[in-house]
Amino acid sequence: MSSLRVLRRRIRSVQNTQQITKAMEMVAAAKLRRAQSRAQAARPYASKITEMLENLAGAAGEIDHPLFKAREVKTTALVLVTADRGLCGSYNANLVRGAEQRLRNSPTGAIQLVLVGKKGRDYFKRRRYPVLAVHTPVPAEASIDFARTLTQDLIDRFVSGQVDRVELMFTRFISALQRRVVVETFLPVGAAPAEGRPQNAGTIFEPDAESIFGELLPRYAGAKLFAALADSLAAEHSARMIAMGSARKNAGELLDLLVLRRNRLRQAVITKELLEIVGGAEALNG
Amino acid sequence: MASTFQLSILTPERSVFEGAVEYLQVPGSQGYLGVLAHHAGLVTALAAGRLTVRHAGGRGEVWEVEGGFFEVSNNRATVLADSLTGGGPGA
Repeated sequence: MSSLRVLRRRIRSVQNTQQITKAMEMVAAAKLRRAQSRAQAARPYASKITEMLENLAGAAGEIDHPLFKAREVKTTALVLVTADRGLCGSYNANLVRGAEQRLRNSPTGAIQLVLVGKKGRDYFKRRRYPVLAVHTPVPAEASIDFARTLTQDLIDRFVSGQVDRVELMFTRFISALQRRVVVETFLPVGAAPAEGRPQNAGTIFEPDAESIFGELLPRYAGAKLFAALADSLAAEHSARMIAMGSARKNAGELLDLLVLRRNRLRQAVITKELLEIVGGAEALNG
Repeated sequence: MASTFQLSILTPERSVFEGAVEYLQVPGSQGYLGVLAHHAGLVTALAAGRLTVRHAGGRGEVWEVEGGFFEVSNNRATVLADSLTGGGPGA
């Protein structure tokens, strides 16, 4: 019977889908663990450089550094960190939606996009929003070299006056089940002088606090961007893991339904054949 | 036994070393400088060069740094290196 064959084919296809999604879920889980430990490993440096920056901001007094000075904001560069790959639930959609909302709520040209990752590029390529730069592919593991290249590009645009402010929009990894799209100001670097740290007194600065501070700023920015990229990667893998997990579950439910239907149909066919045989024998005995 | 101080060597990607050392020599932007326990508070930028450590117990270790920062305060030293290679035994 043809509908039975159709049903069997359907079951096989859903079984394949289930297998693939299960494999992808497991791969994403393994990658998530790696991404998480990489993000963790970068934390001591980031917190130390933040601490140094705050101490120096207090010690240096009047700071006249281009990366530190807030200007009147006419144009803002919005750095949108998306993934290169899809199949990760609403991960990319949330980012793109957030960015588009910001673009719509501000006058034309006030926000220029810097797109990191293929998904963001693909989305905004077809739309009329101003795109400053595209950085893709994103390395599969958070890399300081990539973060430095991107930081340098942003610093150049900021210092040359092309943009007056740089914001980062990325996904903060909270836990394997939770992530949130956040926006942070990237440039100018806002550093509040540390308060109540009297041990600063008597510290020797070589050559002097101002020039160390000036050298520290781009590194601080780089570390911050690296952390954002590492968080984004971890969030992407966790989003994919969740998405594939629920796809696997859905496939399982569909499979149960289809198998039940197949069995019923098979039984109906058998019953019908039996009835025909019995009916035939009866007619012969007549 | 020489007195020791805590040293952390960090790069943007990971923590390379964490522990007690007796002596440390770093390529400061104004020239090499040696640090022993109870050094006065100091912050300096680093130039490219050789980072030499004598661990508690006398074993030496050497890295090559690209640049970065160095801080000592309250008997804690921190090296923030832009990038770091090596880690082999040395003087």
